Amino acid sequence: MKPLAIAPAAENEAPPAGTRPPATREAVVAQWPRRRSSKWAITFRLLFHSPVGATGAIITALFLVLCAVGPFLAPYDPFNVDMSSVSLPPSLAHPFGTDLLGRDILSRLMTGAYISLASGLIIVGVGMTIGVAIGALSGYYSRTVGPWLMRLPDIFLAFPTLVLAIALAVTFGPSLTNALLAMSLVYWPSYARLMYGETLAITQLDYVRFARTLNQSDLKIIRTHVLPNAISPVIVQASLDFGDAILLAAVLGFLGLGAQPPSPEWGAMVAQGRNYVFNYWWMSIIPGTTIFLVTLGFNFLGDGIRDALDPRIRRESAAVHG
Amino acid sequence: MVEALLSVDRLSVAFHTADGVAKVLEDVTFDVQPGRWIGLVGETGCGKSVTASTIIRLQPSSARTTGAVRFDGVDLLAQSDAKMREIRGNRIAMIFQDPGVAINPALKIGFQIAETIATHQHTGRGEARERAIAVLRQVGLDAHVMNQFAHELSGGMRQRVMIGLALACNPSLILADEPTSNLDVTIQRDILALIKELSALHGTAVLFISHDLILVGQMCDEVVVMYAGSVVERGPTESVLRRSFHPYTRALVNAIPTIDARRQALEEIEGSVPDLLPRPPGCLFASRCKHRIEGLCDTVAPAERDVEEGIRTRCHLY
Amino acid sequence: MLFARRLLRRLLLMIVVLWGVTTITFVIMAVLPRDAAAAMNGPNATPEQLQKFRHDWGLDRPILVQYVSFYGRILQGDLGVSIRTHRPVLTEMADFFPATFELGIIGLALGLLIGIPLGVTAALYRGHWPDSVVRVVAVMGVSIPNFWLGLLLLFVFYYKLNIFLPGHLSLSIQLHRVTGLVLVDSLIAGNWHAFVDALRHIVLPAVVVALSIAGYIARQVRTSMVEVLGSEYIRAARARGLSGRTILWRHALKNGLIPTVSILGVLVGRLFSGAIVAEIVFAWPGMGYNAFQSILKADQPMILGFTFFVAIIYSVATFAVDLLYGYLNPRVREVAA
Repeated sequence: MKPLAIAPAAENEAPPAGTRPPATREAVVAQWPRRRSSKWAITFRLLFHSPVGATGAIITALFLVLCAVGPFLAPYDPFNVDMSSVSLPPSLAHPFGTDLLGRDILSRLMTGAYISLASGLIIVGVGMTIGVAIGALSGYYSRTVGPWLMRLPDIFLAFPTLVLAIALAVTFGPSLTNALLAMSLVYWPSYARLMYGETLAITQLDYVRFARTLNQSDLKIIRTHVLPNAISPVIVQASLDFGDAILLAAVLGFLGLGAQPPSPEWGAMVAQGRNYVFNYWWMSIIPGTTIFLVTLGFNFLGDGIRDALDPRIRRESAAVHG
Repeated sequence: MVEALLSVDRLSVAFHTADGVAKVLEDVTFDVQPGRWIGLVGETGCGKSVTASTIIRLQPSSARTTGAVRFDGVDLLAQSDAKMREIRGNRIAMIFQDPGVAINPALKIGFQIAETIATHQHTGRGEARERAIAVLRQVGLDAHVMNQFAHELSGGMRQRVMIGLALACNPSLILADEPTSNLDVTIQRDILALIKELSALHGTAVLFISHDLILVGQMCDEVVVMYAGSVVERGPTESVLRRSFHPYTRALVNAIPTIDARRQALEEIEGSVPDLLPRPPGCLFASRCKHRIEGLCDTVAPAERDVEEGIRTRCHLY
Repeated sequence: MLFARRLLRRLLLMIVVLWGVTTITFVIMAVLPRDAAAAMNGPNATPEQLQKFRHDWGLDRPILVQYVSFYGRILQGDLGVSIRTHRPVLTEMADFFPATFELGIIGLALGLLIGIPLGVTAALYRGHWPDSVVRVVAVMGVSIPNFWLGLLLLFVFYYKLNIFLPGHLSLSIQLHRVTGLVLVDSLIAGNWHAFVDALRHIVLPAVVVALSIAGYIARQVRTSMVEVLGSEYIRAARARGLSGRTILWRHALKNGLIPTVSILGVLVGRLFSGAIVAEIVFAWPGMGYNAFQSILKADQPMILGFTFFVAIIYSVATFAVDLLYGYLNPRVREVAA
């Protein structure tokens, strides 16, 4: 018997900030009667229905453009030390002012953008790779090494994020690559755990057990059956972590553990102006603002995507029994 | 003629959802006399629970309500929130289906009962506790239950607590929403007997909501049969079950397996409840009705008519 | 009875984790660096000192022997000696811990004070504008670089307005150190002047710490409150004619906030991260500040000691929170059948 297809306003969900009246997948699709849009196209459209998602998308897009063309469009040479233009406040000639060595801050920001982007990508990418590998293997061999292997992420997670990142970065030596390695080692455990859970579930399924009996090599099974199905929550989590990863890279840069001078990494730029923030506020405050905006953009985007992917099916309300 | 305690008059409720407007209740009308048991029966999704929620004004915020619900002469739908709060738990009380989730798990049983008493009867804390213990005794529970939590009790005990919570302030009407559906069959009897006994003792009227026609047949003085948001038949229980004028009622009655029946297949009602989004015109049972009149039943909604023995039916056949 | 069994299991897990922490620290100390002795003793060490160190810590022996001796030293509380100050690392940690603890507690309290009402409001008005506003604010809170925020606050409230101050206590204040917590010590001494001064110094770093966790708290509280507010027992409470305020404060909050306790563990981790940065920016003399100085001077033993110390505290705190949650949730306490 088909249940009644009715429901009161979904009471347990916040709509994306300031949405127009509920944009359901169906409603949006209904607007283009003859287009058979893919799931991703619909998601993309739904994204722009919420101010949060739209803002995030715009900021992220601008940032990506900046990373690509920044180094070429920068008005000044970001490494050019000019002692005659030291510590100049923002002006028409130098919209964001100059730093202690007379370098134009705007140019340094534009040139250094890609470092933040690359940091985020590498941290999350490497972390995901390690995490997925260990998680999948543990889940697959869940009766032998699996549970033991999974103690490893637990131990890593016993360290607060920043603390471990600092310890590793200091041990490896202060450089950008070492810092990235250190941060990847901080990020992999949560992906491993996620992957482990998903793999456990998948390996219980019949078709995997069947494949095992067929004497297929374990690695092949993992690659063809387990991986594609188990990996989506990990990817979702990684995309949500991206903003945090950029922030963490900036913090390490601020602590002097990331990219070394004269590299125009944004966190390091904030650190350089730190002791002069009262007199020359623009040296620290402006790079910090860009870090904030970029992180915000990615987080808004992630939130927007998460909402757009949310199954907006009419739910049978528990309040309507009879 | 005795003045009805509760008079539901042409009650209609529509839910305004993102997918459109769904008319969940259409012109629901029935009366509850003081001290009597009225059974509200129908399959899942027919609107029985929405009716109960609407009576005490706990419908979802997306609901638009028209009609009247007169209780002791006063239209509940027109009352202020403050007035409704005085009535709920006090003069009209509700017994919920699943006592496992309807009792606050973080508060002691005694606290919850005493709280209701203190709120409505304006007593002090000590006095409220005394009365709460008395309530527990009435439903057959020991005083030490006062200090226990919901998860420490069995299903049957929890439902007794639920009954106690409802009866604590001696209401004149109880809305019992499938009070035994979640219980073991063996306990069902006890619980129903308890409600029956207590309602007789205090002269409480009971609106007994259920999908189980057999139970309703045994417990209720009158029965109201609902289908897809409309009342299709109502009247004295014995008469309705015996005569079953409306095709739906008849189908329900015929579907009841009886021990002494000769070997025969259980009668099924073909088809399924129509989608209410939007609400089709005419009689909503038409698509499944063996006696349907083409051109009439699927276009014009039947009006309610008196047939014999105090039964009222909503069908074009009469 | 069952509770005791749970406790035992949690305890065992914690011990395993602590062992793991020790091992990782060992790996970082002895295995990773090219010359562990040089790293642990600094560039100014003489060859004789390095030899002695290698001998004491067994660096010229097989890895397993090293590990055992390392463990032995850890259990005796010997985390090495700081290159900078030449004092035992453990002593330094103990000296700096109270300040971090104080900052952490105040920051946590503030964070809860901001985050919980925001989350409850968002849940009460779910689907309407307050909910959206809280959501945006929560995302912003999670996105703010706390070092930037700290500098900004410093600029406005110290440089421009001179209301709040960086550092620990004004130099003019004399305070006898009892617990190491300036707020407590000043109250103990009855020194109202010192208390106010301490407040003026702790507010800004505490705000930075609070804001790093407030957004996270608000989100959690919102989720669990929404679930509670939609539950059948809340509906039943309304059906009994209880007022909205009673329902919120007596019926809903208790159920809604208990799950929040379960995230306290994660919160402590974020508190540490936030406190480290706040201490550096505001020169608050806690472990984070100390760690930063150590980074600048490549004081390897201190950094390792700091890492180890923090991990231990974090593990114990997570364990304690777990216990607390088990105690608060009456269902878990009984482990009902």
